[in-house]
Amino acid sequence: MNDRSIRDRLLEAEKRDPVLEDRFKKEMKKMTEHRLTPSGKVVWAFTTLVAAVLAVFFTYLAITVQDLPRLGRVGFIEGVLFSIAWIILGVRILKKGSFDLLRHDNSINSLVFGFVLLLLVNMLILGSQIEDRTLGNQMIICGAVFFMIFGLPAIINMRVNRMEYTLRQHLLNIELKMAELSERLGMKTD
Amino acid sequence: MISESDRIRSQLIALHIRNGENKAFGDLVSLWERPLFYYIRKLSKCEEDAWDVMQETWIRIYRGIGKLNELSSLPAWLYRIARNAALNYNRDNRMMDDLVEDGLDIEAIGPGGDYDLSATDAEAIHWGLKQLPVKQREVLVLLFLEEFSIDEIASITGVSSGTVKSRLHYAKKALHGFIIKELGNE
Repeated sequence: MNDRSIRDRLLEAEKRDPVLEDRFKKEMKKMTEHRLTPSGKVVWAFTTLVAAVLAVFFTYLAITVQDLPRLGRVGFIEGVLFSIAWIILGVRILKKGSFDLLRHDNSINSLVFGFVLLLLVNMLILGSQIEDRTLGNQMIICGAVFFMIFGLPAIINMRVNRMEYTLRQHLLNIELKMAELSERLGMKTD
Repeated sequence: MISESDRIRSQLIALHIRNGENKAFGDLVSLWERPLFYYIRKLSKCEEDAWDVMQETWIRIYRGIGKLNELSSLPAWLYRIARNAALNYNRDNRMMDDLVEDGLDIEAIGPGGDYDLSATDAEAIHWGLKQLPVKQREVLVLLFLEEFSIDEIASITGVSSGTVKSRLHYAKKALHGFIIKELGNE
């Protein structure tokens, strides 16, 4: 009763209306896309505008400020790059009128995490190079505390999850290979 | 039931989705769309309703799969979500009210019963299932499609194992009767 062919034949016996099936498939494609609400559009337009203003401001600072340590200038350039990336993302989302959970969510997370990490590394290096040691030490301590509170637990958690994921993936792959092998052997015996 | 390799493949896909590889979700849909539709169709009044429930089911799966710890229970979890979505969709529908447990715990009967349907044609079973009351139809579909254990069916349908055994017994008996009668008429 319960062999695979009966299951497949039962599934085949269920006739499906192609029009309804097609509508479902289209809806499934849109499932991860959230249409922007009017308030969502305002939020995205505002943050894009802020990013544009910041891009201009950081560019101005990076070019005009005299006696700035090289790493300080690099920090401003990083700010410009981050702002430009945010403008591109914002314009794309606004143009499309929807937020794609599959693509945009990952982009925002990577962008923010990458920028904070870069800024932190910059701040620590700059702190160690600065001539005013009091200010330098303050920068290092602030950066280290920020990293201990927000960065380190997230990185440890990510590493542990990654290890668990890799281990489970390897075990499942071994199981899969064994199952495929035994199914192939079973087919040959039949 | 689903092949062992497809079962493990499903777990791997779920693992990828949990790891943030959202594109793997499409693979999960491809693997489970047909059996879940079959089950939902058997719980729905018409096909249009079934497709709406399907959509709601996949939205719930998408939102919940990250929290699923026990990957080996993925098939039962998928069917449980489908059932809950169907129940929610048609709360006013009398047919669906039939699915809500009435609290009766009927005497436990062995799962196999005396009715061997192994030689019966799949088309005949498919036709016969439509003639059964929803409660009986549901447990038989779960048994035929995935070969779930009594306890798994109980956890999906939210009734006791004794009730599942009883429903399976009466469902097989009724299905056998319908098929014999239909074949006799031909």
